[in-house]
Amino acid sequence: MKKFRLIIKLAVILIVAFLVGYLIFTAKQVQV
Amino acid sequence: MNTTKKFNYLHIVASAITIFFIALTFFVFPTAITRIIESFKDFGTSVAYYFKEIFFLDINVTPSVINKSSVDYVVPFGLPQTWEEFQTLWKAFWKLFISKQNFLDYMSAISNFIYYASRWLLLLGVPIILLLVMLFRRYISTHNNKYNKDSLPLKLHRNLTGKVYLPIVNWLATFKAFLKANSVYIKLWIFIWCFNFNLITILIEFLAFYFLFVATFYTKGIYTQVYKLFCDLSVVLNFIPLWAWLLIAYYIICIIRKKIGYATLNHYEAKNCGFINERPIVLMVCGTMGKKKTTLITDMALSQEVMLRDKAFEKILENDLKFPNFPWINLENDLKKQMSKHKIYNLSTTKQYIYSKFLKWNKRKTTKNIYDYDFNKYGLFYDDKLKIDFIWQVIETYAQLYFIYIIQCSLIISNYSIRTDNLLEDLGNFPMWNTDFFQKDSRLIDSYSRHSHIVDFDALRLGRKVIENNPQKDSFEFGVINLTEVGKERKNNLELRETKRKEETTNQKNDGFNDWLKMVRHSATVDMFPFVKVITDEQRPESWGADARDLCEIVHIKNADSFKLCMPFFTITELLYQFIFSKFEKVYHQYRFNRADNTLFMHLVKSLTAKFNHYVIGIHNTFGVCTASLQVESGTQDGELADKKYYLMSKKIYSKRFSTDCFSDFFNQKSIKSKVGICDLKEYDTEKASFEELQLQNSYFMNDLINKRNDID
Repeated sequence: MKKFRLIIKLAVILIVAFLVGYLIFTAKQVQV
Repeated sequence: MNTTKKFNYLHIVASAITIFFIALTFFVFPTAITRIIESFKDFGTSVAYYFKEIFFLDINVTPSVINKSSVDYVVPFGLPQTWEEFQTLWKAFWKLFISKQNFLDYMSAISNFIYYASRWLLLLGVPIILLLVMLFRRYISTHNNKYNKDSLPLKLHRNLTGKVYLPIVNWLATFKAFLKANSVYIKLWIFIWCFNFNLITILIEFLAFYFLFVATFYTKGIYTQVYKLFCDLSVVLNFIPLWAWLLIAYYIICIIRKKIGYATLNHYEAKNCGFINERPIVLMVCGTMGKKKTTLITDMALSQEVMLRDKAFEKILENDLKFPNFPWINLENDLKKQMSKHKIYNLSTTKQYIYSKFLKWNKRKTTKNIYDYDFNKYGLFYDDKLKIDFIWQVIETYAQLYFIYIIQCSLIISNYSIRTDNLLEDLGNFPMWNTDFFQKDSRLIDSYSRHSHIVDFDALRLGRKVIENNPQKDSFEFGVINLTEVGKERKNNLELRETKRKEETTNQKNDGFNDWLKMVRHSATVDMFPFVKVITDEQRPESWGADARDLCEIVHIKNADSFKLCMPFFTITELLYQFIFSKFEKVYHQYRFNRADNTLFMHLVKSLTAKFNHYVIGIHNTFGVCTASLQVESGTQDGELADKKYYLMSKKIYSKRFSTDCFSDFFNQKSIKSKVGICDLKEYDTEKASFEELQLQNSYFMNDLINKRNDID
């Protein structure tokens, strides 16, 4: 259970980082 | 003399820093001056326009706040200048966001990053790591017995820190204390930097647009204001480097998560109070050894003490409002005076004193004799639609409630010591209790802590006393009685079979303790609320005699979870700590096994790990919560068990609150007399005990067997 929660937390962190990265990347592309 | 010299010297340093900051305004942030002039102009014209619109003045004013700044800023995030451009870019952004090609480009960018990162890692990182691992293994496996000898690099490091690092740290601490004492410098620096970063300009511009907006509802200008805001913010965004922004973001996250953590702790405490309030006056906590029984009853007692004071506080206001024009402060000051003279020291003496005041007033009915209350004007009676309260009845109740509220000693009376740290804050008027459990500084608790009162069981006996004419025998009136291992004190019916009520000595059957328990609320009731709670614990409910136990509610501890953090966003730090600590643990134990000297590497690694360890432990001790699953049943043990939860919070209950081995001094006194320790005890010679070895056990069982063998022989 503890490991499962940890995996979920890490997955959420990674997904958020991926999305934020994608937002920044797209914003830069628009300006180009 | 020296102090004066140091004082002046630090003033010079602080002044030099101030001058340096002002110089930066002129040489690094000259645009801030232009912008502040513009903002004042914007503000002036907006205010003039506002009054023109309100009073229909015939003046020619054009609000300049709608214009862009003359300063040529590099706008962050490439923000477009007009609303139309922004709309076009916004649409283009979302179109691109959902386009497949853009997503593939993003994935390609990530792949490129991973490719180059792994290439560098393989080409450069892996050989370096391998080399370091080899060197490290050699370092760690070097055997020596140079006890506490410092290596040369460590000696140099110690010298350097002693001569450079520590003096700098000490100087900074002195300077920090100086700035705290002379806060004008800090305020000035904050002002200068707010000015440099256009924060004051932003505030004035906001007010300027606010005045224009409320007068005209000029919505078209909102985007220009946002654009100007980003232009002004570009100074701080560009000046502070990315790593510093990351640090600032981390600091802000730390503050937010701590706030959430404290809010959660307070929420759990409120839930605990709700649980305690649902219980009757007497309750018994049961659980086997190590189930946190004493921890639980201590925690309940601490919460109950706070709740008693809160209740008194609440009822003081209720009574205050019955006669809103009564000068209660005069009564309070009189009570405080009588308490300091020890004329008032319990509820009965409080009532007696107020009665004497009433008699005096009754003889001569003047305002002076009733605490300067103008009873002719404001009346002597209060009607609550149930009954009529006479002023002196309310004064008596108020005085008793005030007595309960104001006494600074603990309200807990227990058979083991409990530390309480509620703080009475008093400016000479109505004092306020600071009853927070979670934000107290652990370094200061000893300075204001109080401990629970030693229970005198004679005060809890209505019948015979252990000490006849005990001066404390009638001392108990109200408070929280906490008795651990109550069954060992009171015993059950089976254990008391041989004990007789008519015996000469005082015993559990003739001391009237159970009668006291049944009548306890009578001495403690003020304003129809019983200011008393009796909290006990025992391993099994049956250990306490049924006559007393039937009065209680029994709280069984089903289990207690391990401690969990209630502070969010700590996962990454926790993972990092576990990774670092597990590596350090292995290396450190190997190092301790092989070597006895001190090296620079181990010194640094150990210091840093210890710092990290202290931080993580501090967080766990502040925000750790253990959920205890409880089952509540009636003392008669014939009802259903109700499942409940109770929250044990580290900061509240483990902050030097009580000793888990509260009776250990008895065993210490016993074992200190022994001439034999564990090493002196004989060991078995082989894996099978010999007959002689069995005889050494002094066991009933073995002695029986030996006797039986002798009988057979």
